[in-house]
Amino acid sequence: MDIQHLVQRFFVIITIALCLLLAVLFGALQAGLI
Amino acid sequence: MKKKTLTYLWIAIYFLMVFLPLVLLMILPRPEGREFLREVAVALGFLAMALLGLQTIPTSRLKFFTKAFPMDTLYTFHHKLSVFTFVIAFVHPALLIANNRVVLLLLNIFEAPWRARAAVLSLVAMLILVATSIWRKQINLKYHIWRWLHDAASFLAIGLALYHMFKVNHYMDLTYQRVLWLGLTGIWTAIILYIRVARPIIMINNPYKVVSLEEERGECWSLTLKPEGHDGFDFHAGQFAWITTESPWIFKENPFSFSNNADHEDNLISFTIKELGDFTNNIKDFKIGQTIYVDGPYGTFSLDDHWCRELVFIAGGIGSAPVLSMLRTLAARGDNRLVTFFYGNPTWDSIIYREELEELEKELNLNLVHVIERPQEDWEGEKGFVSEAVLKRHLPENFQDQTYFMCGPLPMIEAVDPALRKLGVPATHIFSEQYEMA
Repeated sequence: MDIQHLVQRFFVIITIALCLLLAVLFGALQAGLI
Repeated sequence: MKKKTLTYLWIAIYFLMVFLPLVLLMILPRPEGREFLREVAVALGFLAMALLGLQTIPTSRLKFFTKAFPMDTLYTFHHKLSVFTFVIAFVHPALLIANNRVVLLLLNIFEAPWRARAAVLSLVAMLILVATSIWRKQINLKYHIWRWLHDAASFLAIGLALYHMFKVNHYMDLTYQRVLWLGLTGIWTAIILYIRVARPIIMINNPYKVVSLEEERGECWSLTLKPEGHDGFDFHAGQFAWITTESPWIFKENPFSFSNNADHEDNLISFTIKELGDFTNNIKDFKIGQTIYVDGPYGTFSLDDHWCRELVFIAGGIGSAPVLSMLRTLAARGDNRLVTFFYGNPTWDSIIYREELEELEKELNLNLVHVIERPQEDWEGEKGFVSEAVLKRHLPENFQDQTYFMCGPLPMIEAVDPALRKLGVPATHIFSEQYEMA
């Protein structure tokens, strides 16, 4: 699958997933949970 | 730079612009942390700010960006990410309130400090942006008025959110964060200035004149333009441009595909335009010699942008304009690859370019399959819409090795794309372009 198709299919999902993951990770890091 | 390298470079820049401020905050020295919900809210606030500013890029039509990604993909990306940005911007105060009810007091814009007022007003501006974009047609908002509103609300949302962020000092006290965000703001501002100042000036300095206007079948008009006082530009068959008869400062352009041969030696450009709405209904009133402003070429829906095997075109109605440009270009090149063209139209009489396509069948190795929605009684060809069954009947045996170009209304693309996948055509062999992008 070429990069354009990857962008069309998964880019929004990857962005959303990374945002949520990083937000929770940052919260846990700053709250001393990890 | 190679297209693939350019694409990877843009993807890397994109991730850096969205995630770098937060990632640096996680790995470099930072102030002491606070409650979990509060810190998640802060992270979402940072991400919402980065995504909000980034939305200036996908629709900016910057050439070095549109060369890498299809324009309709960029607009779809912009629509989806804008909604997500609004959601996380809204969750940002919601989590702060859930963590500490006292934060509720900051929603009172009459008594709250300016940093909180700016945040509330930015959220309202974002709500206006999202609501008017999703329900523009339902609330009968004219396109050009919506564009002005969209610009004003975007400017307010970004400006107020930046003010809020810089005034909340906890993490923004860090010098590297301030430098980073000022850098990002500089990039967004430069893009906005290019879109709203530089591009209109370029268009005004490079005008076009109407040299011919011919009526086609199906309430369509073929419009040919000649550059006035400049050399024009080269385009690839299948690409498109935005055109307007009014001052480019008014931002009332509409996108249309080129329909002429891309390898022409003159510098004329042609479009075939169907009467479908406000602007297109005025095409027939264009006068020879009238000034038109053109912004283009754009799009990656092109023979020359992809490595193509034998070709299959699938178009509905005026979606045939870029296909005709490709067929005319193939004919001019003496290309004898097999081309199969599924062409859907409401009636036999409304088939745009019907006679020219018959001529092109003689010049090219072209298998033309008309699919008529409401055929006359003696019609023996395909009826209804382009479907899996129609495709199966006419595709060549090695159909999985063909390169597919689809252009038409969204329902057609949404029906044909899964039909092709079901037949086993790899996704990498299918390229499509929708009519509506905004």
